[in-house]
Amino acid sequence: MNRRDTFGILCLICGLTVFALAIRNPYYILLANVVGLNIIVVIGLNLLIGYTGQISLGHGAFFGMGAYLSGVLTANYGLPPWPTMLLAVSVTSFVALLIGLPVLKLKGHYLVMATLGFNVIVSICMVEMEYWTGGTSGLPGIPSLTIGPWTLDTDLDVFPLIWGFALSVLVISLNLVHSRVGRGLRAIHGSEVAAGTLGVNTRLYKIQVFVFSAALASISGSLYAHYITFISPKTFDFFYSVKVVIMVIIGGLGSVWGSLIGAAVITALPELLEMVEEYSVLAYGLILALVLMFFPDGLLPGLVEGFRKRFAHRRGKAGISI
Amino acid sequence: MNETKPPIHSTNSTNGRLLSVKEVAKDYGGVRALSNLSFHVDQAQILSLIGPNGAGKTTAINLVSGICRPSAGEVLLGEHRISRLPSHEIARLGVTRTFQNLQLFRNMNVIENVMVGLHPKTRCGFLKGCLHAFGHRAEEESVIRRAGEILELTDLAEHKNRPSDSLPYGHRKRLEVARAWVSRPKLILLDEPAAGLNGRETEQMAELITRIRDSGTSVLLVEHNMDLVMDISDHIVVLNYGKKIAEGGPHRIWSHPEVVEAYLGGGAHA
Repeated sequence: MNRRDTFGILCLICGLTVFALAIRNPYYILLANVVGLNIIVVIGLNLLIGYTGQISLGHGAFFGMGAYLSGVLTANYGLPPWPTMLLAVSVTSFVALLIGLPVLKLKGHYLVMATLGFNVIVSICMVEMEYWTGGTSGLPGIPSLTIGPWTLDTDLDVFPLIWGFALSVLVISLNLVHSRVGRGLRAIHGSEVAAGTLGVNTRLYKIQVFVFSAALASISGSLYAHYITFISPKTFDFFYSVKVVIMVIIGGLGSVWGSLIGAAVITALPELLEMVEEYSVLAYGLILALVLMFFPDGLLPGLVEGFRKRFAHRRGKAGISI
Repeated sequence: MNETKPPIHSTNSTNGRLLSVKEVAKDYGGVRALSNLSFHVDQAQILSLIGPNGAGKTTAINLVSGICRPSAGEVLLGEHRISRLPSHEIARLGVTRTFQNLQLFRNMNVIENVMVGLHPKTRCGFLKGCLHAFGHRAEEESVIRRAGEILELTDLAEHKNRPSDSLPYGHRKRLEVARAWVSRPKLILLDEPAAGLNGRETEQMAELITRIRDSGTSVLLVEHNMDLVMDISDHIVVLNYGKKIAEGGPHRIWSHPEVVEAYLGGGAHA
């Protein structure tokens, strides 16, 4: 993390505090919480897709595994939420490792298809293992999280928790991308063969970042389950995986900060425009098409570059007039 | 054809062979790209591998760098057998390379490309990277410093913050050499470093390669530019159709009738 990142995070914390204090409408708080949950998934996925260049259309499954493991074990078997969450992350990470070992040998479209297949399998399990998951009608009665004597059962209660997690993930990921490992990941994206001959353990790095992104998705899923207290398979289907990939692309491949923008835009815009659910798909398509037309590198990198050019242009003009 | 030295294993590895390629063969499907190839590279030596197109030069470099594995035979670095190791471990043991068609990391700027080259000399892992943990900062600073030094040595320092693919072609060729050299490996494999360079750039490249040798790093050079090869090589191995047809010092190599025939065609007289 450099000084600019630190400054950005401080600004973000201030903004969030003001938001939490000023906004009275719980609906907006809910929306902000969902944005926070998506940010956790999207940042992890950006490390995998944007930095390392390995595309996954299966992260909805890891998100769902976190939610269902937490949900089922706490609602049906009365396990305590926090340790269960840890268990869910461990199990999901282990599954990601088992999936990643063979799958990450694949490249390009084949990798996409394999991860997509995995997602479909997990979705079917959620529906068919009705005894545990409640099938298509969903799983109600998941307990809210507690911290000491406090039960976090309102939107505003959960807000600092979710954003605390989101900010931690942001800091950790910024550290990672500016480290030796972050360079190794980008090198894999640039040229896997060359990265190997320069001493980058490409296979290990790909698996590590895959498992890490799956773990983040799982944490987000657990938080989601305890926050909404009800889960159903539809939330975690293949379309969610597509949605988070769209967030990564909109925000900017290989831009951790961009992931925040991507998650916020794609989560909030259809809601704020009061779209009927069926039409939100249309909105995603439209947003994606427009962004790719005007900002092919993603919203944040595109806007930053735009401002820079404008600024340089003006300075150039001033120079000439003098 | 006379084999100059009998290939007996050197007892003194610090003063002797750095890399030994022993009776190596490589088949691609039914095509035999290399057969029974043996040669060795000494410490601080520039060894050139020459031969007509398709002679198996790049295949030899791929075998040494771990990109593919020999169908038979073995490759030793010192006493260490490297022919079954993955390429990142071979890099850690001190062998790096460049590519015939540039393989720069186009998504990174110039200095970042070079910083990746220091991977074998640094240790920070995934967790430490995430946590920005203790010791990380000192390592990062040394990486930036060493990358800066190598860019100075290769006259690329002024471009260090430019995206790597915005550099002119000749600079990109030099950047790839810098990236391979920055970890101060024992051996660098250069696959046609002067291809597509103009006269002045080729001279610069020749000077750079000699400087690498003088710094103690051996060079295994594959190159078509014969002036360059004759100028800087300490030893030359000539391949044709996947077989070694001659080896020896520069200039002396042309006294082999097979070499002349391979280059100029049959019927030519030396």
